[in-house]
Amino acid sequence: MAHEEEVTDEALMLAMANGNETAFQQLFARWKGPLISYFYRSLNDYHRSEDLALMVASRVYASRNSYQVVSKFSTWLFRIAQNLLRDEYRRTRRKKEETFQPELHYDKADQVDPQKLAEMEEWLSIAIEGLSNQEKSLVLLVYQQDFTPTEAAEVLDITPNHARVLLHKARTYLTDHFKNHEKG
Amino acid sequence: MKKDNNFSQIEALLSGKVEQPSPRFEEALRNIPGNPAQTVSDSAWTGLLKLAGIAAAVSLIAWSGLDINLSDQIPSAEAILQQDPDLITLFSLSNDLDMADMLLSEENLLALDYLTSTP
Repeated sequence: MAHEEEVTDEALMLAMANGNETAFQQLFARWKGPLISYFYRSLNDYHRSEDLALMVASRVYASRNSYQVVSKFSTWLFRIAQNLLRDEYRRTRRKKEETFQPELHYDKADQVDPQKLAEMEEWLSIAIEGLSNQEKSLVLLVYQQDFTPTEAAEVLDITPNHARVLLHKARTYLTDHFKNHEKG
Repeated sequence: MKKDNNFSQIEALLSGKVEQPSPRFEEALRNIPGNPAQTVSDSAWTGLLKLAGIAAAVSLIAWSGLDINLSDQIPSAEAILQQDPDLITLFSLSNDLDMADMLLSEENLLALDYLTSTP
């Protein structure tokens, strides 16, 4: 994530290890939204998404002394998130009947008719369930979190080529589903 | 990757992010540093407490006469967990007390078998 003239995520982690607790708050001021959003789109359960984001934050804090800069912070962070998500999928086999919808900010809102957004949100919550859990995570890492396919592959522990194939498949599925939805 | 107009709209939709979490979230986040309940060692205790709950639930199921036959597959969950910190971490993953569901799945029983049989 780009932060103008700000300390890097990695530097904040190292500051935390040195006892700077403000660094933790700074770090999660940046990452709470992306994490909750990632879980929310994956699970369609807002309150559980906040719980999982807190679990990630808790693990990051607990790891502050052992953290080593071996890859981008965001990759490490989303690997933690992905592990929790995988357990969540396995554990709950949940019913998806969430009614609460949080207010979302769209980075690329100019590409959509604002009046159409609400309708498309409803469509997406249904369409995304047609993707495998791995495809869903990949799509969200790339199109919501702005990871490159290679970075997303690292989070998901698959090869970059595998990620590209899955991404293509997911895009085709979503586009076809959307076209059918538009036709009514 | 070539984009069509339909996918541009989908991409815009996917870019949606939550900007303002709930006050409950913000308060919990503020409390993580320095909160003993959030440290790794204490989450292990939470896991043990959950397991005590599960053990009680399993006993209740056995007492009620349901033939789940868990006793053969998990000889002594508490004893195993006290010896194996990895298992404690595994079972500490959930915030909820609905771990019985996790324990009863075939997949997790196999995982438990594997973990307990590995030296």
